[in-house]
Amino acid sequence: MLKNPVRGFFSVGLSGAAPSRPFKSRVCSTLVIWHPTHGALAVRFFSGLLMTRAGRGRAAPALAFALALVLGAASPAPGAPGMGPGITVRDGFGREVSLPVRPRRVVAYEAYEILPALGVTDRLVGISRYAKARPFLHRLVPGLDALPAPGTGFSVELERLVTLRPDLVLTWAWRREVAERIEAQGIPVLAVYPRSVEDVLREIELLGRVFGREDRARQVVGRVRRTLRELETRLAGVPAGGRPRVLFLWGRPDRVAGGTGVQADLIRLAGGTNVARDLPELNPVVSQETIVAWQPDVVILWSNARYGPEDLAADPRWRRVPAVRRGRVFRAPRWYPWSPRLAALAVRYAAWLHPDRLPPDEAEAWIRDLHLDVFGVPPGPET
Amino acid sequence: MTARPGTAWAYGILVTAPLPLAVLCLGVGSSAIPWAHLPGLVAEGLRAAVDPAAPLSPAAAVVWDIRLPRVLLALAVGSALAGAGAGCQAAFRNPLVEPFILGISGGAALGSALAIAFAPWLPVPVAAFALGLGAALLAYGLARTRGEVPPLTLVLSGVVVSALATSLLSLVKFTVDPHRLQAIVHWLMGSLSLAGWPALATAAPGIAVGLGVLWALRWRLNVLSLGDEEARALGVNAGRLRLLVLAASSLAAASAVSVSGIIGWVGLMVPHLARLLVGPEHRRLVPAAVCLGGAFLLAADTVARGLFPFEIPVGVVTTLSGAPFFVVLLKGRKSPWTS
Repeated sequence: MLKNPVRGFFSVGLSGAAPSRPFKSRVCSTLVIWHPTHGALAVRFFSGLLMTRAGRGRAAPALAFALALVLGAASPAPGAPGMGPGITVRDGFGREVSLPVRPRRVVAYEAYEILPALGVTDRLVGISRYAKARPFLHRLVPGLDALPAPGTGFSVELERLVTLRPDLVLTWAWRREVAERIEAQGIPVLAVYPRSVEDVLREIELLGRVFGREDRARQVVGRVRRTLRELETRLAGVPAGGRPRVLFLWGRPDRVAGGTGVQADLIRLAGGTNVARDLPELNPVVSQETIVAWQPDVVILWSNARYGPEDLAADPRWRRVPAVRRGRVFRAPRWYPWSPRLAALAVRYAAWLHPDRLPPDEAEAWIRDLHLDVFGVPPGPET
Repeated sequence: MTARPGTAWAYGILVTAPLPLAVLCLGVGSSAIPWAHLPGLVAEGLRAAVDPAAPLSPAAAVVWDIRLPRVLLALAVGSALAGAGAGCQAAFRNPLVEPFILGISGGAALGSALAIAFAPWLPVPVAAFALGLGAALLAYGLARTRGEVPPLTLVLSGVVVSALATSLLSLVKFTVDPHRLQAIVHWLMGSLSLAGWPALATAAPGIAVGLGVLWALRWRLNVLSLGDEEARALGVNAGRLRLLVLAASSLAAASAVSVSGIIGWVGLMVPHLARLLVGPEHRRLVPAAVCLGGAFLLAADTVARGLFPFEIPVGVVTTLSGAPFFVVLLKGRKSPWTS
């Protein structure tokens, strides 16, 4: 039901082979993934890692490899010396990296809302400073306040990080130099960049393999899928014309969720039609004219946006947008979409889009059950 | 120009300061390592660098792999920016000029943004260096008319190239997705947090060559500051000398920027600071600016990484600490470039 084309591991996309207009972000994102040869040079330069990879012109083998990974065929491979057997995966930069199995000292700049679901927070020796600002996480990770925070995914503090002697660093594929600088210290890095709900679920399964919690990971993914399936069943009767037109706005009110990405998937799963679905970019910027022309019925704001529904209501340019006129502008809760909580987000969105089919009370009960099954605690009052 | 009494002392202190300061800063960091252990740890790191099979203790890894390259890079970048600043100010005979006047920072910023946004296979330092130096060349080429390069035209063409690069940078920032945008913004802020031996190896040759040329030319910079006519009367081809000084300054500044991002204020303020301390005579000013720049950026970076519960951008420290200090010095003395 999650209609996902053969989207490669994390960020590896079919777009590598797709003809595309130059200078569009889709091409950029593609380059991140496929550019391989020169990237490898840099990697060798910095970390001495030897790796083989398919060149850009040879996308087919790379795609096949990505497919193999999608199908769960991560191959056992010798890890770094002294680390025992490892697994080899393709990361969010499109690099092939060897990861240790069952790491004991993990620093999480990312995935910190996945690790509690897998029950492996005892392996944490460090966590992103951002994680400490999440009340939910404080309930899941006892002693979170005392856990060292060697920076954030944006700003890694190398000395603090190395002093923690991690055997695995989880971060997101942001700047390759950052990952390479950490790897130069002999620390394996898993950098991810999920671009779809399926990517997130694959990340959970991958972390299950890495941490030796395959069964738990399968359970969690199964539980997430169950909620998404129930949602699909509940919304099955929605006629084609009954899907509200949804606009998702990021940190500024003209940057929208485009046709790809986790938010795009969530809107679809919640029974909405993403007004920006025809824009192939991840998070394109559009003009106010475009937004008005889209006539969205519902607007969802990113949880950390510095503006709120009231700001849109007060803005004359937004006054004629149906969602604003009818007061259907919502701020997404601060649930991490790159975690099992994406299902909770989908349910919350669905309750906004289809309150007649999924009454808010029932939606909250679903969300609560999901949290209890996955994390063992209810979601909490904070949004 | 005769040196004021006391400037000899100031000069002596300035040129010897970086070494003890480096030792001091090497002992500062989030993990407590006693200064007494430093020599042993550095020796251990050195052994491990020569012989990859040699073991490296965690403390030695921190000192050798993380702190030492960062300390050296701070020294190198600071001295490059300050030395280039002194060179540019002499070449233009203008105290408002800084090493980025020819558009190096704008070009480097654009290069890094393009690499981050569209060409992830291209190492950011390479792109930043290439476009930084390219911008300076472009500015020089634009200013060149009938074989002459009037300094004022050069400043203006530098402004034009900077503006062009900045607007293209805005375009890039506008089109990329927020995550890559964040990466660009972080690069622009300037930081030494990713410093390692490879970064040092990337930047050091250009900085060494650039500063070496400036050092070798330090006598002639005095002639240049007299003005083109006077220089010609003394048998110096001012135009060619200016080109050489600018090329050396640009090489040093672009090499520095390529690994550190844009760290402002050092290249403008430190030459002035050095001039206030040792006087405007370039035989002393150039080495003094180079040493003071290195020491200043090293101190600022050590504060940025070591004094707070988390790292703060070094550019914030350089400006916050440098600006008031500069004002105090400026108010307390007769300005040496108006006399």
